[in-house]
Amino acid sequence: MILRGFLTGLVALALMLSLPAARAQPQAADLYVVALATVANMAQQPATPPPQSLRSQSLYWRVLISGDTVRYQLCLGFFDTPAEAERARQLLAASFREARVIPVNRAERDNLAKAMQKAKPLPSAPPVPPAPPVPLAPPVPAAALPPATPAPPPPSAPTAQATAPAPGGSAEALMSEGRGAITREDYPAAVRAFTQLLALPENELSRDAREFLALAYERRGDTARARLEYENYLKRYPEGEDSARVRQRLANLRPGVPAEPLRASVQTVGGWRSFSFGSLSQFYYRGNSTIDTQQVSQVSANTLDRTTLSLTDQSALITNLDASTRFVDETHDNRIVFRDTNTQTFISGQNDINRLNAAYYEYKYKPGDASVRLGRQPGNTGGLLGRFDGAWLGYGLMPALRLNVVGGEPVDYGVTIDSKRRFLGTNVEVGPLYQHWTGNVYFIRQMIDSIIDREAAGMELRYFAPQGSFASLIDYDTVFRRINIGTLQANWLAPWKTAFNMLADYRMTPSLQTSTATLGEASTSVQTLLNTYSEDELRRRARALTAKAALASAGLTHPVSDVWQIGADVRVSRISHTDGTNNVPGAPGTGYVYTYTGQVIGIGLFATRDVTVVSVSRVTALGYDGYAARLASRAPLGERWLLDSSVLWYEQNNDNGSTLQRTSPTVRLSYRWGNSMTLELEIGVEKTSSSSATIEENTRRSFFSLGYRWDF
Amino acid sequence: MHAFLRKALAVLPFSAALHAQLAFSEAIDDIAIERRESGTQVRLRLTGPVHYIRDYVSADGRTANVYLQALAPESFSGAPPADEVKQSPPSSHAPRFTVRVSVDPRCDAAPNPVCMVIRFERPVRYRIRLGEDRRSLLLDLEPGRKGAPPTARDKP
Repeated sequence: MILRGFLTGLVALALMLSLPAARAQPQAADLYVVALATVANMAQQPATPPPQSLRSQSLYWRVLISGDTVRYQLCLGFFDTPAEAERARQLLAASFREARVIPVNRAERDNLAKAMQKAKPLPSAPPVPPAPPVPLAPPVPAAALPPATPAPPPPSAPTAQATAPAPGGSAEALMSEGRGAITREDYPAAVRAFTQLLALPENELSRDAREFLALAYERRGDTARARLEYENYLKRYPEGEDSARVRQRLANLRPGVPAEPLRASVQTVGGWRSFSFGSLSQFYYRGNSTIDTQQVSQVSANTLDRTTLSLTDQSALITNLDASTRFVDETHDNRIVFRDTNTQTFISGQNDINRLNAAYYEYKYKPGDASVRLGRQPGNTGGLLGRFDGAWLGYGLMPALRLNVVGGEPVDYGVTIDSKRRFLGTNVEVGPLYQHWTGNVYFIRQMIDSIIDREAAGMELRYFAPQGSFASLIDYDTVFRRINIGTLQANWLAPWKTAFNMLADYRMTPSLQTSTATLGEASTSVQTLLNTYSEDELRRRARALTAKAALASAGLTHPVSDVWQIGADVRVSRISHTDGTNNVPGAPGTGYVYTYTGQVIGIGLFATRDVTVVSVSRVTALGYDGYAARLASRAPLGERWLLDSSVLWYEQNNDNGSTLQRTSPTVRLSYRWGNSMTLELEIGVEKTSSSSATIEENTRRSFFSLGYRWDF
Repeated sequence: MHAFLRKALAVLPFSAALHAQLAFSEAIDDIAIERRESGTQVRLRLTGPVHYIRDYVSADGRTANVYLQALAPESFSGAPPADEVKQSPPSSHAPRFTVRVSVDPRCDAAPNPVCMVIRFERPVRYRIRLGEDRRSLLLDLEPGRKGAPPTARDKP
């Protein structure tokens, strides 16, 4: 409540700063402020207040106008030197990660003081965000926004000047009040504000007010009134970009169109918000296969033997529960996650399986950037290779430096090892540095029984910007003394809208681990195997069962028009041979496999929401050539039905003269029942034909699934 | 949600964990919706590192098809035959949406493909990109003019 009152008071004093560039220009920057955040709406208040030591400073809004865009910058100031401002920024960095120091001129402080003086007589409650600015000057280009680091003001200074808040009851104040109410989801208040605004003589805000009034009705669930107001809007303003948007909103409100489903209830008690959400689904899967085999005599080509086998290969009910609960306030964030999949099979000889995917509790202390996660959880960073049972602790040492410690037992599915495995690791996350660079270094040791299973050190380096990103990873195993993983990947969106992607990846497969040596052994207990093999011999055997996989790819996607896009990819991959052991024979390498893929994507060919993809691939490899084609389409049938259909075709010609052909059409139909229930039916067939000089085999597998998903 | 159900959900994980067997893996660990400077950002946290290949979005932005490649396929393997479907957490900053994930090798020509279909309840405008950690997918929802709620998607 203290926080809320604090923020309310400050926001009530927020000021509109809209200065023509020409007026801001003459004065040099001789003060500094900390720009905490820039938002689209002033109702987006900061989650945490400034520290006590900074509460004597002024917290106020600036308005940034660029072209047709208005944004609001929350600032704390004023400081005489950039060093003082930087110290304040560091104090605030934990709560405002994007905070930066910017120069301002003294007029801004003076205008703020005047405006605060004028604002005092105004009622302090309810908190009314200040009115949006009425542009007094030509918009300032985005390039004129303040720099990220302290520097003299650029030739085009920020658009900033303090003015008095709009008087209560004015169009500006009512607009601001209404928009703030929408953001707070206080729709009755929004309706009141916009209705009052529309009662004023026609002004430059009337158009927006009429749209927002309809929106408030819509969000309130009063569809009939919303529709009426949208129609009124279009009668008054039939032309323009806004009108197109309103038509779209109106179209969404037409009878039969499901309204925005009610969100999971959010309860607020004593500043805490709690909510739960998730889904429960049950699907029945059934698959039948018919395999027809003909043995052919190599001498006379007469059919000597023919067998036909029919069987039900799948009959199972799969139940999936995914549930999350959160308890959140301004400084604490608690989360409980549970995900489980249960498979009940109806085929004799097959066992039912229950898989616990996740069951963890997570706590975050926001001001201190501290967190803990306990239980079964995914592990995908810091050298972790997958899911584990254990704990992950993290603490922000500095704004751009975070220390994590992780420990537990790995959870592998489908792998049975009679050995105890446990790991302990630490990693340090760095960044963002210079806005775009992040990375981490890590060390992890995993024991299996009494010896080291895996011990790795690694690092990641990443560059991340709006138009492109780059990432690299290297993982070196200090026990095997080999590089386990090396990855380089990049994405770039060119100014001409072509999206490029590139990947170079090298990794040992499976990952270097001593436990790989248990493959093919009579015992999967490392402790038992140590009675036969030395520790070094076990690692040698593990290495002999581990292949090296290398992959390089590059691709692009380009929008040819609003409807059509084209894409192309080139890949080359190679998996090395393995030496094998006396119990497991070595596997041959694949040689280089080249894949060339071209795609054509049609968007909105038949309806607004349909997507059609045609893909053709050619594969050349040691011993075979292959061709693949795929046609996939997703099309809405009204608002409640959705049809997904695809056809896949593949042909492979082997150097030894044998061939393989596979065709697989699939259709999936979804129906949205109410706001939270989805029913689905999927039917498909896969037909495979293979032939060689001695045998011909035709396989036909038909399958279907039917079930529901309840979102709560 | 009913208070009893919330309490039951809070207790359920720990009681179930006592009887749990080995785990299937999943592609999505969490969906977070955050307010950012430029609008709302949706972050789909994945259970393993991926490479971003491409995405296609319907004209009104209500359906997005995203194609990724799993770099550590063991993180995604063992998935049940059913597609993984997750819904967005409650938020007033983004329309509700569901994410459907398929790791079926036939869903894309890339090796170890991770194919996603994101379906919003309303038309929305956004941009899709890979997260800086390579283990998440970002949807930057753009506010409409003057911060109005997002509507149809602009072409990237």
